[in-house]
This record gives sequence, C-alpha cells and structure tokens, in this order.
Amino acid sequence: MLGRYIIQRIMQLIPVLFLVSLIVFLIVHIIPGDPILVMLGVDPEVGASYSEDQYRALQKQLGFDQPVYVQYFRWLGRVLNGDLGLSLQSRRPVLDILLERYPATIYLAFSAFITVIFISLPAGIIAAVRQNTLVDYSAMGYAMWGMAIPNFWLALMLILLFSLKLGIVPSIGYASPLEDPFKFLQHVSLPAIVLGTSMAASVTRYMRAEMLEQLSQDYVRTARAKGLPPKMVIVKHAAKNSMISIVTILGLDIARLLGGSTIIETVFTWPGVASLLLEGIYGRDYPIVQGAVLIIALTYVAINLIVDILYKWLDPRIKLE
Amino acid sequence: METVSLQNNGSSSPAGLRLAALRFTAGFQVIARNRLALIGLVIILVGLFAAVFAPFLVTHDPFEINISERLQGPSRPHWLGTDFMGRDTYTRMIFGARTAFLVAIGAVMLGALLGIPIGMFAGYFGGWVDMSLMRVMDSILAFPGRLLAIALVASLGGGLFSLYLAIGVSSIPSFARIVRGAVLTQKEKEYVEAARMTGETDSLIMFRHILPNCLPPLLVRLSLDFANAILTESSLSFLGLGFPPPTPSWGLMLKEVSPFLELQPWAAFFPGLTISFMILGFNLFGDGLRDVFDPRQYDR
Repeated sequence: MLGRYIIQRIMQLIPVLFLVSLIVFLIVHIIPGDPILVMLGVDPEVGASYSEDQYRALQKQLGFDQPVYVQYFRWLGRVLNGDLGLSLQSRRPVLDILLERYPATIYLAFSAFITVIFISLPAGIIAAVRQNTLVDYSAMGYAMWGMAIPNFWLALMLILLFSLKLGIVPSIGYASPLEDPFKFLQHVSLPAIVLGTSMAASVTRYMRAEMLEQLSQDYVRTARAKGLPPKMVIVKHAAKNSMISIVTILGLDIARLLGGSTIIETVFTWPGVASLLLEGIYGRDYPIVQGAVLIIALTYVAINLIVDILYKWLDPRIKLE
Repeated sequence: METVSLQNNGSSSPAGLRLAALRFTAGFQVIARNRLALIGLVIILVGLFAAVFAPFLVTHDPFEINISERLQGPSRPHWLGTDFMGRDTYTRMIFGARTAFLVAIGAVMLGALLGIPIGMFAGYFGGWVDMSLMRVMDSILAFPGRLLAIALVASLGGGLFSLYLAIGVSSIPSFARIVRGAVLTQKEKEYVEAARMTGETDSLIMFRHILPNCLPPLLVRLSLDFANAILTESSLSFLGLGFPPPTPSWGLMLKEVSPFLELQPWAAFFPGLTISFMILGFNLFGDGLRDVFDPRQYDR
C-alpha cells in the first residue's frame, strides 16, 4: 500500500520537475536585451569593452547559437548528467561550488527548525493551559509580531543588540559543526533564531488552538476526573494528541525555511547556496544563479515528498488527492 | 423580452451579488466588534492615506541630499532622523508607502486576475481542464515563492513590471484553488441549475452568479496576499533587486543604512518598524475577515 502511494506520489512530481527545469532554463533567456552582453558585463550606455572572440566563445559555451527548444533539451541532458556548466567568474564547475556550499544551508535550516520546535511547542501549550492570562497574551503577542516582522530587519536589530552592543555572539562568520561544534553553535544561534521566528510564531498559534481544542474534549475531563496529576493530563494526553495535526503544519512549513534562507544567509554572510545565489546575481554569473535555484528548488520538492510519505506512514488514512 | 431580461441583469444586482452585499454589511459589523481586526483596518487605512496624500504629509523633499545632516537621530526638523545621505527618514517613509502599495496592488491584482479565471474554469468544467490547470498550479506551489520572485527579478531586472510579475505569479495558485473549491460546491446548487435552464451562457453563470459567492474566502486571501506582497517587495529591495536607488522604498532604505547600523540605529529602526506595522495590519484584518466568514476557525 505504502509502496503504491510512493510511486503515485513520485509520478506527480513529473510536472513539478518539468516546471522547475523550465524556470531554471528560462532564467538566462528572459534577461532583457542581449544576455551575452549582460553576462560580459557590458554597460549599454558606456559601450563595448569586449572582443568579438569573447562574445563568440560565451555564445558557444551557453549554446545560444541554437533554437530555444534545442537549447532546452541539450541543457536538460547536461543537467541530468550532473553538468551544470562553468561559473563565468571562477571558471570552476558549478556543481562543485554548489556541493561545497550546500551543507551550510542544510545546517542552518535544520538549526532553525530545532529553534522553531523549542520555542513554539512550549509556548503554545503554556498559552493554552493559561488561557486569557498574561502568559497567554504575551505568547499571542509574540505570534502576531513574529509573523509581521520582516526577518532581515529582525536580523539587523538582533545583530545590533547581541553582537555590536553586548558582544555576546559574532554577527558574521561560519564554522562547520563537524569540525568545531562549539564555534558552529556560536555562529548559528542568531541566524537560526531569525530564520525560525516567523515559522515559530505561526506554529505557536496552531499549537495553542489545537491544545485548547484537545483540553475541551471529554477524554481530558475523564483523565482529570480519575485523579491524574494536571501535568500528566496536559503532557501525556492533550499535548500528545495535539501533535498529530501539528506535525502536518511543521511538515508544510519546514520547506519554507529554505525559501526564507536567501536573505538570512546574505545578511549573516552565511556560506550556503542561498547566499551563493545572491552572489551569482550580483556578479551576473548566470550559471551559478541557475545552479543555486535548481538545487534549492529540488531540495524543497524533495523535503515535501519525504514529509508526505512520512504522513502516509504515520497515518494510513491519508489519501492521495 | 430579451432586452428586458438583459436590462434587469445590468441594472439590478443578481441574487448572488445582493447576498454578498448583505454579508458585507453584516461583516463590517462583526469586524467593528473584533478589536484586532479593527486595528488592522485602521493601520491599512493610515498606510493607504499616506500613500495617496504623500506630497501633502511630508516635511522635506524625499530626494534632497544634505551630507552635513547625515545619519541624525530624531529631532525637531527631522522627526525620525536622517539617512546616510542626510535625506529625511520620515519623508522617505511616507513616500515609501506609495511604493509599497503600488507594487502590492499590482502584484495582487495580477495574481487574482489570472488565478480567479483559472480556478473558475477548472472547477466549472472539471475533467481534463481541471486536471491540467490544477497540475500547473500545484507545480507553481511546489516552487518556493520567494525563490521564484528572486529568480524572476534576477533575470528581468528590478522595475515595476518585473516586480508585479515576480510577486504576482506565486499568488496565482492560491486564488485558483480557493475559487475552484468554491465553484465545486456552488455549481451543484439550485440557482445555478435555474440559470442554466433559462439558457444563460457558461461564462455568464460563472462570473455573474458563482463568482459573487466565492468572494468571502477571496477577500481573506487578498488581505493576506497584500501582506505577503509588501514583505516580498521590501525583501527584494533590501537585497538590492527591487527598485533602483534613490526610489523611496522601505526595503531599500533599510539596505542603504544597514552599514551604519552601529553609528545610527534609528535610521534602520523606523523603516523596519513601518514594514512590520503594515504587515501586521493586513494580517490582523485578514484574520478578522476569516472570523467573519468562517466563524468555526480561530474562534477560540
């Protein structure tokens, strides 16, 4: 049963992957004007500062001398073979650069996810248990503002407070968790909190609503009536049952952390693929831009797939729509 | 007979529209009682007011450079201080509202104008039309919205049109899904059957009769998408991918003063606070609308 579901779900990916490939392919082709001149860094107002040979070489490298559909299939064929082209600036294979920077993105997204769980679940539970008290209002206030505050501004304000004024954590820099876990924690704390804030805010809200729902159920009343300690009722019964729908919400949101990481990686100069994307855009290094968009989109699709399969495994009643 | 019925359709609103109008009045009463939604509405109206009447509300020229007064804190001549070129922060923030609303209105309209008909056709005709349209929509949803926006402006360049496109495209699927869902429940109802029997065309049934009944969830979506559009515009501008300087845009203002964060924190504080308030406003209002139209959700 699960096997069939997985096959069906993977079949559904075909149009998605086609669209992803089309978007990534078109990034170069919708550049207004002559993309080759743009990539050569020629300013149309200043005029030419390139040689005919350079132009020809780049045209050939990108395959721009062919019709568009031919270009697409050739490009797709190369991508499927793991050839994402050469970076226009460093002349290195794009795939190598991406693989170097991929782990940092995953570490950050994962750390942010952990932050989300540690903030939102307790906050939601406590807010529900102490409904309409100051604790509840603060949690809801946090949820409201957490979703409204733009993460890049929050990043700047936290850097100002914790790095520049108090000097507790470094504002920029990176260390791999595999090499220096302590230094990694120091560096990841601010970016992870900033990246997780908006998601933590929305999950807090759902958790609170779900807990209130569960706490009003008959089985909770029964558990209380038979004399179970209140903590036990809250944690073992109500919170546990709330988790079923919260896991869904968490799964839907985890992939969104990747989309949000573009800005955060740039602000904190975190050496991941998302900041690589921006470097590529600023440097008009379009093979890098294409590669970065591709890898982020594929990760996003893959996470969604895994989450869906996990649900099916956890709850066999879920049907494919 | 033919002309009479046409006139009727044109001058007086059909039943669906009248019902929607009734719901509106009832809705406004509920919103007025929902304090948070009311606060949201007030924030939105203040922002809109600032955007429309910007030239009458400001104290300086938004482009006037005055290096000798750069990076000042709040003072009597400069209420919210100045930026790194000595431009008045308050003035640029008011004009920034114009930029934000201009982009958000266009982008959300684009999403709605494409998404609503797509959802309508998919739901109304069903079958392979539905299948293929919704597959495309799902594919767009499977692409992270913020990444799509960045990829599009990276190629198209920053400017009003490419921002509309970049931000609007990712909201098409949500509109399509809402309308499709609503159409599926509406099209089995008797009033649609009746309209069909009187010989009305499919498009007339869809847009005259069914669409007004899809309005409530659409309005909620509209409000939340507005918040998202403003956030995306300011994010793109913050990354230097939105409008070019010296356009007064909240995100760009933040980007420009971020190197001077320690020197003059106020310069970065106010633009960010403004963005937060604007998004909060649309979120609160959207939540309030949802309470009105679907009291079962979030009513605790």
